[in-house]
Amino acid sequence: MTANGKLVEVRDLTTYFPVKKGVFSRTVGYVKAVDGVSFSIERGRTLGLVGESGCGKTTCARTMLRLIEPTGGKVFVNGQDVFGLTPRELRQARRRFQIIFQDPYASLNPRMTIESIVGEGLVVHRIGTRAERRRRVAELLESVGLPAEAAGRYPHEFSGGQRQRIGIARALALEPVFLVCDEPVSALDVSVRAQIVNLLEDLQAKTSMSYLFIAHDLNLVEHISDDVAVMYLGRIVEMAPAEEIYDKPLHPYTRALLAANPVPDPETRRERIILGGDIPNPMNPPGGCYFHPRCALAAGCDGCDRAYPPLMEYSPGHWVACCRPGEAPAAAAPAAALP
Amino acid sequence: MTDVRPAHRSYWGLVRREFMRRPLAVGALGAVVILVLVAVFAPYLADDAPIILRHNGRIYFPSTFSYREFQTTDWAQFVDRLQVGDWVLMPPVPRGPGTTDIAGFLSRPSREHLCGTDDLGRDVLARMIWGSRISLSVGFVAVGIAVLIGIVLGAVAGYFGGAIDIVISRIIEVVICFPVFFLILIIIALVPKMSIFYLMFAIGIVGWTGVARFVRAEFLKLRGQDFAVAATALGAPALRIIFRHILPNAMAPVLVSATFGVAGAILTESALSFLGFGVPPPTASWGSILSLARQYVYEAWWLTAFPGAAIFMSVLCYNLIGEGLRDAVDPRLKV
Amino acid sequence: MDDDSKVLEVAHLSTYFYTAEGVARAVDDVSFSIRRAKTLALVGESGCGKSVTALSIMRLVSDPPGRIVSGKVLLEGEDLMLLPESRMQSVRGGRIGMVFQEPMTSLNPVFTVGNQIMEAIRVHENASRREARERAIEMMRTVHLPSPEERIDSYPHELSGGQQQRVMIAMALACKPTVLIADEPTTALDVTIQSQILALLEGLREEFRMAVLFITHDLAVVAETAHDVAVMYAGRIAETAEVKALFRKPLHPYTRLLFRSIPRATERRKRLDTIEGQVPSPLHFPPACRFHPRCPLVTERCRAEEPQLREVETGHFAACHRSEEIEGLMK
Repeated sequence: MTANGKLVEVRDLTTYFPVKKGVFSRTVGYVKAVDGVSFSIERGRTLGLVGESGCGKTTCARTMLRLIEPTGGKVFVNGQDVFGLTPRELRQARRRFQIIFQDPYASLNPRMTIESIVGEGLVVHRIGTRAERRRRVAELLESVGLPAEAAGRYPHEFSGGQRQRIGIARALALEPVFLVCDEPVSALDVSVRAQIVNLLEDLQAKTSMSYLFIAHDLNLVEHISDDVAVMYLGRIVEMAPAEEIYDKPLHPYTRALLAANPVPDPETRRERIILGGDIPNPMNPPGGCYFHPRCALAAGCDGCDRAYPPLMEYSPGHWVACCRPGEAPAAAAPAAALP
Repeated sequence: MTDVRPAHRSYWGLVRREFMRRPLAVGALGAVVILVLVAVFAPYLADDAPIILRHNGRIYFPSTFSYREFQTTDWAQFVDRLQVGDWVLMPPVPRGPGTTDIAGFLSRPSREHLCGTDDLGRDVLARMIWGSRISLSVGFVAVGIAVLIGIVLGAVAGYFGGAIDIVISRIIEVVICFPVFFLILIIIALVPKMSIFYLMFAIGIVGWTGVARFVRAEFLKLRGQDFAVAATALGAPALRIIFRHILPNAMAPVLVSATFGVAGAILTESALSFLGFGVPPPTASWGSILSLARQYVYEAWWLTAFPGAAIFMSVLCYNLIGEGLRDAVDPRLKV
Repeated sequence: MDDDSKVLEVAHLSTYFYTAEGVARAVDDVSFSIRRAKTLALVGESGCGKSVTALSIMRLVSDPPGRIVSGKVLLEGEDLMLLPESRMQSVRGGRIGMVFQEPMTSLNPVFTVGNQIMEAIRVHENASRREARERAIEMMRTVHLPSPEERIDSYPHELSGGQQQRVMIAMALACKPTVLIADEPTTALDVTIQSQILALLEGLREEFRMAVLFITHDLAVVAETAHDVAVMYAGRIAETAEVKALFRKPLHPYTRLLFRSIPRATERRKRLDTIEGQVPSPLHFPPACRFHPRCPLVTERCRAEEPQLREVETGHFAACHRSEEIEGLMK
C-alpha cells in the first residue's frame, strides 16, 4: 500500500510514440497516446476506463504495467514504483499485477497446452514442484469454471468464452493484487459476456483484487465499476463514482457518449444528441480543449480554443476538465448535428 | 461444461492429418524413409562380408563386428571356398563399394551386377547404396547447421528490433548476395585436407539466410501478439519468450524451407563431387560416380543413368515433401 | 398512405456447407419478410447463421463448399433463386444494396472512393463518366461526407472508419435499391460514430422508402432502429415479432435469457443472468429443439420433437413448445 492506502496510484502518466520520417528516420512529431493521466484505485475496487478509439485507454493500461515503455510519470502498485525497478526487480514484481486481454484467439499460445499456459507464471517464478504446479493448475481451472482435464488440451479446442477463462486462470496463478482487464468481453458473444463478468465479480469478492476495467460498452462499465474515468485523446476528461457519471455527467463529451449509447428498450425515446465530426488525429490534437471542435457548448464559450481546462474536483469525488461543466447545450441548437 | 471438440489435436497433429491427405507427398515421404533405411543399413545391403557366418562351428557377424581372425580376409575368395558345414547369409548385393574386379571393369548391367561396374570393376549398385549415406548425411547436417544459424540470427533480429535488427539484416543482405556455389569452392580450396565434414560445414554456413529471413519475419509479426505480451506480463525473461513461446509458432516456414534445403544440399554436394571438389576418392558418392561417368558417357550409359536417376528421384521426393508440408501448415489450418 | 406490402420475402431458405468434417446446416428452413420502408432486424450471436442468410439472399455463397439447398427469396414477387446469374448480377447493387461490417476490408485500397462509387453506378446504368462522377458526389453529399468534391479522389485509408462506412453506404445506395442489407454495419465503429451512422441509415430509409434488413448482435441497436425483429439461433428462427411486442413479452426462452444477460445501467450492480453452456457448432447441432441443452424450461418433449415456428400471438411467432406458459415460468 502507498502512504495514503491506495493500492494503485498513477501520476501524470505520459506515453508518446515518436513518428519518424525520411531516410534517416528523423523524428518529426509525436503521437501523444497518453498525455498526463492521473488516478488511483483502492484495494478491492474497480475503476472503469472508457473512451473511443484513439483515446489511449489500452496504451495507458499497458504502460502502467510497463508492457510499453512510459515517456513520463509515475505508477505505484502495492507500494512499488513500477517505473523505477530494474528489469530483474520488475520481473519479480510482475507477480502482483496482471492483465487479461481482449482477443481470446490471440492471447493463448496455440502451440502450448492449457497446462503450460496456465502454469507459465509458476514455472517462470519457480514456484512449487512439478506435481504441485499440476495441482495448482487444476485448482485454477476449476476456479474459473473449467474441468481439470482441460489441462491436457490445446487452445483451439475451446470456444472464445472458455479461452477467456483460461486467460483469467493464467493471470490468477500468481495471486495478483491488481488486474487490468483490457476489454475482456468485447469479442465474446452476448450470452457469454455475462458469464465472464460474473466470474470476474466473484473473483474480486473472494480475493479483494483491484480491477482496471477497460471497455467501450458504457452499460457494462456502469455495472461492474465503482468509479469511472472517461478518456478523450489521451487525457481524462471526467472521473467520478459510477452512478454519478451516469446520472450527472458533467463533461459534454461524457454526455454525448451517454446519449449515443443505445438503450435496449424500444419504448423509451432518449435524448438524441448526435455528436458530429470525427475523433481528431492524436498526432495533431486541436488547440486548447481537445474536444472543443465538436462541443455543443463551444459556441458560447470564451477560452475553449486557447487553453486546455485542468481536471478539477467539481464536487467531492467528481472530477471534470471543462470550463462549463454540467451545462446542457441550448435546446434549439443541435450544433453538433451531422456535419 | 466443456464443449468437446476434436480431441487433443496438437498443432503438429493437425499438420500431420493435412499432410496425409496428399498422396503424392505421402508417397514421397515413404520413398525418403526407404532411402534413409538404405543408407542406415548399407553394410547389410551391399558388402562382400557376410551378414551371418557359420564357420567351424561358430557364428560370426562380419558385417557388424570386426574379428581378429578375419582381419585380413579377402571375403570374396573366402566365400567361394567355404567348407562343408559352413553356412553364410550374404547381403543382397554381395559386393562392397570398394571391391574391385579389374577383369570385369565397365561391364554392362547383368544379373551379377545389377547396375553394371565402373572402370575399376566396382559394382555401381553397391557404390550407390553406400553413396546414399553421403547424400543424406550431407543433406541433413548441412541443413541442420544452416537452420541453427538462421534461427538464432533471425529470432534475435526479429524479437529485439532496433540496432540489433539493423545490423543482422545488413549481414543477411550481404551474405545473400554472395554467389553461394563459388563461396563453397573458396572454402573448400582453403581447407587443408578435404573431408566430408568440411563439405557439410561449407554448404551449411552459406545457406542460412533464407531461414533467417523467414524466422525474422515471423518474429516481427508474433512478438506483438497478445500471447507474447502475456508471457512478458507474467515475468518471463526475453530468452524464454523467444525460444519457448514464439519460436514454436515460427517453425512452420522453417520446416518447409529446411526440406527444400535438403534437396538443394544434395544437389550441391552432387555438383561439387561431379566437379571433383567433393568427397575425396575412394568414398562413393552419387556425384563422384557421375564425375567418372563423364569419360564414358557413350560407352557406359549405366554410369550416368543410375546415379543421375537416384539424384533426380531423391531431390524430387524432398521437393514433394516440402510442397506437401507447405500446403499442410497454416494458414489453412483453423487453429 | 403507407404501403405495407412485403418487399422481400424469404421462404424456407436452407443453406448447407459440405465440409470434410460433415455438413454444417448454417441456415435451416428460415422464413421472414420485410415491409416497404421498414427495418427488420435479424439478431443472433456468432455462428447462428445470420450473415449466411444475407449472403444467401444475394446468392453470394461460395459453392463449394456451401450450397443453397432449398427455399425461395421473393423480391417484389420475383423469385431470385430462379434467376440466371446474369440477371442476378443486375439485382446485386441495383435492386438490393449491401453494406458490410468492416469498411476497411470491404473497400478496395488501390482505388479512390469516388472510383468505387462510380463503378457501382456504371455497372448498373448507362452513365457517362461525368454523369457518374456527379452522381457520386451527390451520393457522398447524401451520406453527409464533408467536402465531397475533394473527398471523391481520396483513397480509403485516408478516411476514418465512420467516413469509410459512409462511402460503403453511398456505394450500396447509388442505384436507389429497393432493399438494403446491412450486415453489422456499426459493430466495428465507436459508439458516437455508430449513432451518426444509425441516424443516417434511418434518414435514408425514409427518403428512399427502402426495406432494410439489419443484421446485428446488439439488442440495444435493435430496440432503437428496428420495426420488426427476427431472432436466430443455430441456423433457425427462434422468434419473430414487431419490436415492441418482442421486448415487452419475449416468447422464446433464448430471447428472454438474452435480454436478461445485457447489463443495463438502470439496474445497477445486480448479478447478470447468464445462459448456461455455449453456442453449438453448426456441425453438431443438438437434435430436436436446438436450444434444449441450455434451456431452463426443457422437457422431454423438447428433447424429442423439434418445435416449429408458429403464431403464438397475433403477428408474434415463436419456435418453442412452451411459449404459452413462458410468461409465468420465466421472469
